[in-house]
Amino acid sequence: MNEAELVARFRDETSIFHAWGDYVKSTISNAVETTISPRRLDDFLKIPPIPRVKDVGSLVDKAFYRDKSYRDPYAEIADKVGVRFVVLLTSEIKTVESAITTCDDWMATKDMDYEEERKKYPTAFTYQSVHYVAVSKRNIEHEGVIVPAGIPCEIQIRTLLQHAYAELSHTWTYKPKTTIVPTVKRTVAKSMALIETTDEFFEEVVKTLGAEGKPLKDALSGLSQIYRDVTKIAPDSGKSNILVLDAMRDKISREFLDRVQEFLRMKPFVPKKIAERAEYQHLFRQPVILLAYYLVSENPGEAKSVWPLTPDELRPVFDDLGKNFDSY
Amino acid sequence: MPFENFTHGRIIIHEVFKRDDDRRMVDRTYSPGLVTLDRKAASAFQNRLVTTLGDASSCVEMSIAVDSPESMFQLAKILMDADKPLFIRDSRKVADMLASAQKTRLIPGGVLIVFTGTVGSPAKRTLGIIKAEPHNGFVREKKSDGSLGLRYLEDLFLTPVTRLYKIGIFIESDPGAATLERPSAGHRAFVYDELMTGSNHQKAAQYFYESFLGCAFPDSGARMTRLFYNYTKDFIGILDVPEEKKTDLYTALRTYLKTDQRPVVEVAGFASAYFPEVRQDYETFMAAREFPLHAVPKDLADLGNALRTRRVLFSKNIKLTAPADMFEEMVKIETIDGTRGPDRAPAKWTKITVKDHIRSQE
Repeated sequence: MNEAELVARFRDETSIFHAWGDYVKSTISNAVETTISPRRLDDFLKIPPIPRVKDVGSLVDKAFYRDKSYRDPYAEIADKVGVRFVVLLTSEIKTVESAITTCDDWMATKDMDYEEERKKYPTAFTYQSVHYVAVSKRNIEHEGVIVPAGIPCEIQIRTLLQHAYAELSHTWTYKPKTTIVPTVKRTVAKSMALIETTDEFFEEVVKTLGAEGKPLKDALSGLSQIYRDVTKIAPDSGKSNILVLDAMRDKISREFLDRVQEFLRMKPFVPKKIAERAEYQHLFRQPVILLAYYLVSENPGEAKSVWPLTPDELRPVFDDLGKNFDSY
Repeated sequence: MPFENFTHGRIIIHEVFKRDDDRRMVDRTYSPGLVTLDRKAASAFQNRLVTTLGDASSCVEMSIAVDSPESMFQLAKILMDADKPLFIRDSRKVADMLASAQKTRLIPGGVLIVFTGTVGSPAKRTLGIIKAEPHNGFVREKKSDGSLGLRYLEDLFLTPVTRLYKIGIFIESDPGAATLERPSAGHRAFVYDELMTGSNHQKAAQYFYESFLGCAFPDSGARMTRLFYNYTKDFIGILDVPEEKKTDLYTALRTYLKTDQRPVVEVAGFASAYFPEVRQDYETFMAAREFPLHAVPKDLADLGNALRTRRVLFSKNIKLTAPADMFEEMVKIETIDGTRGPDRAPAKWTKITVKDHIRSQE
């Protein structure tokens, strides 16, 4: 295939690459979102994934002018379209990977794995990222375009810090290799070493915090389950949950979820009141509202004094339980 | 507890006015239709109700003294059963009855809110009546140039200022208990009126709870006051505080009952004044003995002796008695360390100081 033929074919198929890139992005995003729920995707992904189709100039450049000996450059260049997923933690990379490898619409092969690279070159500190190529297995229609079997899409997954490194190294990619002095190369390698270290520290911090916050997290997921069961409404996961749980943390014992359930059996009107208020009051869509009702019923004075949000948000709970808020 | 799970049903508003210069009734303004409240307004309405009637409020459970066919109680029953047109029509009678009960020109007019609803779990039917006196205030107003202004409003009512409204509410707690002779059996009535529970204003409140609603202070007042005294005494007894503190609390209990001019006793009121730190334990203690958490009419008839004399008993039948009104001033009780026992812990002794000489002994 000569240059003109390559350009013509690529122009012809651009809409297919656009469609495929978008399909791959959406499919992975949806799978990841399900896995991390109730956490939101826009919190999990630090940079929104946007599929990019190579511009024709750099395709030609890569195919014919960069000392790469392709036999069939059009077929062999896998990143005609690519999409990148950037996460905060190295452990989160696995979440995206499993979304890629479990999908049945494509054949996924791992092109690059920084953990493998580290084993192979233990003394080198350089670009780190996980790359997959997803090749469509059959005709797939997406947004009015038929994507035939055999269309590749490159997927990059990296941490925010690895991405920062990649952004930096990108600035010298197009510089003549000989002009980069060894001290710069050394500095860049030192940066990567630091990045790798920092990524490990990040991981450690989150792990430790996760262990400390476990009782609260368990309480929240227990409350969410009860909330869903009794109100038939999908609960929100707003920040107020953690604020309230944290303020009432000494009430959270092993049996407390049982007590909340017992309380709801005694006061079956509470879920109905919550559901009514949930339609217009944000706090009543949070599972932690169950804890508020329970505590106000048990010990209104204390509930009022430890309440971390505004009094007006707690007042309706007192009202529903027939207690005069102002005198506690 | 009786006012948990409140949901309103029909609501209508009428207006009554103060009597004219010749003390004649002025024509009422009747509303021809029901009021609908959006969700926020309904929530605020519930709040006004619970603030005045709920646990730890100053409302009083009254006895339904008049339940003859012309009574407010019977009208309340009719309104609970009525369909919409009938409710609109018959609710006017409530306004007529209030206007007729307001016999002097000293009693202001006001907005009358008549509503049906349910309270409690399981839900019980209820009919409530609010007389709200309008007051004034300001609202913020955004002008066309973006600046903020104040607009004066003269007829605000049902703001959180509870002093400016009165509520009477009838609850069908066990309607099956009603008989032909006593149709109000199985029903409860609660009244909130700040005048009723304030000191020395009871007369001013009478037209509302008595002439209009047909209610009376329950004759259980003496019994309830005695129970309040006994239970509270028991509670102080088991408190984990030094004896000196208990002495103070017993004195406080007497003062609260004898000296305080308010015609009611309140669990919450007593607790917040004298032992706020154990208020919850006290309320739980009282609730476990089924003592109401709202106000209870005070009647000292059954407590005469108990309040007159203070007694302190020691384990070996040693007794100290003193007139209660002098106790605090004349007697000082302190716990001191006695001799060490076999386990080397000092025994608890009591040092009594009587600020007087001995007149005689036998």
